Amino acid sequence: MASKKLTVNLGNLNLTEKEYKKLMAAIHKTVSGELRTTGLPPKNKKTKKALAATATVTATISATFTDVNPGLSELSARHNNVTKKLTQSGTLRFDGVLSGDSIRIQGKSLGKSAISIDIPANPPQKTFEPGTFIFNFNIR
Amino acid sequence: MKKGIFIVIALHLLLQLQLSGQKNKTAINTILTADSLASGNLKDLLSSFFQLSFNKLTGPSKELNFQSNPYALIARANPSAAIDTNYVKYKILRKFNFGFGLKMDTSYRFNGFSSGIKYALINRRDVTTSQTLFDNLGTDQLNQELVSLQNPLSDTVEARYARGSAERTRYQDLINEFFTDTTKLFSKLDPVFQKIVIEVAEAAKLKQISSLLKTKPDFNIRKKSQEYYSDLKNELQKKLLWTISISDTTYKDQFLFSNIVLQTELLKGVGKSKPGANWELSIPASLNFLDDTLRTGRDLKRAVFSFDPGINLVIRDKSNKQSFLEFKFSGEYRHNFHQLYPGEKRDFINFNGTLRIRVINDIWIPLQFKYDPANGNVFGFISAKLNFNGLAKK
Repeated sequence: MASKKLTVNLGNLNLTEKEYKKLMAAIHKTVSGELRTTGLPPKNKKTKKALAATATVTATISATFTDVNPGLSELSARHNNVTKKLTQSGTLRFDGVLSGDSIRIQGKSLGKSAISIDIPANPPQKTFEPGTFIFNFNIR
Repeated sequence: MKKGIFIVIALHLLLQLQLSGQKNKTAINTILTADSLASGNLKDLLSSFFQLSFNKLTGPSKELNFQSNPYALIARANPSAAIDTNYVKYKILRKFNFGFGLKMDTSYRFNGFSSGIKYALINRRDVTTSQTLFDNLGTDQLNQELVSLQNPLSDTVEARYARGSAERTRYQDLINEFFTDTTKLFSKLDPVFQKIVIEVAEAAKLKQISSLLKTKPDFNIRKKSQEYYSDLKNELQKKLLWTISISDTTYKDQFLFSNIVLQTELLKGVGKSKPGANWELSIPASLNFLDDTLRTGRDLKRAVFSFDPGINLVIRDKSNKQSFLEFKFSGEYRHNFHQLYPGEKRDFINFNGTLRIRVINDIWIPLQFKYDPANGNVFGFISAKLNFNGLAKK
């Protein structure tokens, strides 16, 4: 089999020295082991494992509804097929949140809505005038 | 008087011209609140924060009045009072208005104090407590489709661009721009992103969004999605408002009441809501206790009943649904229960008209006319009313 050069583009991903070594070791292991036996380009089994090694976190979403009676607001937040709801001011927690994920928010209120998240995300908070709202917290 | 009317109308036209010139630039990020859509007639009846008015500026008895809502003042001092879990505790206070004022004579000399309280017995116009409005909110096809679009659109972007890639970050942010930014038209968003949205909307069989995005891309989805809420709020402005109030005036030289007025007023929208105009039925009735000047000393033995049913035509700007001109016509019947003065009639009929012009957002100039058919006299008063939603925090 003709030898081929392997280039891995990490994009904007910042790896620590330890993660980088782990990733390189995984690639070397794959190349020297599985590739030789299957003859197919390996699926990034080990690479995925290395990325997943970055810690997951718990995100808390806080919603404050003003100038409205309780029950006349609704917020639904979804992350990885888990959906949680609020019908008045309060908080929602999601475990296992990773960088690059999005937490999808949608809802409505007859008052003003202020929604925020306690981990790095874009946007970190959003405010809405009375009406409906849809947006994502994009985890950084 | 004529000069005053001319100045006010000229000022209004000038401002309308200036505002319409600016409209194209600012229309896209204008958010209309329930308060901004309320008629001037409603704001005179029940203030949401406070109203400062200079009444009968051209009449012999001028007034400077301040009317406010106690809850609005509490919420101003303690913003946590506005949080829904606290808001509900102020249900009674929110229905109150209190006011006080100064009476002045033709030379602007002090002529007595006035004060009063008002309570809304029924207020079905309150957009913050309407279960019907909440149930209907977001039930239109566009909003339903937008809700259905969020997940497949986000899933597509996240499946197409690798975690941590610059593209993923960019397109994730574009999703938020698409759903929340009121300043950007869909056609001005990234062309690749536009294509993704159309593809996803078509795949999810979201007919209205697909058609809008393909045929009229020069629109803003956030603004478009809020139009339905504005329509629902407009409908609510036709509901019943019924208030009762008591007010008094003191003498200029003694802290004694020179009159006490018990009043009730009913306001209800009538007919179908049209984009440009709607009608309001206004039915006030009052009992005024006054000093009988035929008797020595000061008392409140003279009682005059007044009933002044009328209809108010509210003309709205079609582009933002804000009322900018109103005309109220009413027929007033008065009955004197007490001993008549020489030459005075027991029953009296007047025809009244009020033309309200919104000079700028929170400033109304009402011109009042009174016609006495028995004597053929016409009286006119000009006032200025400043409505405040809040005080700017800097």
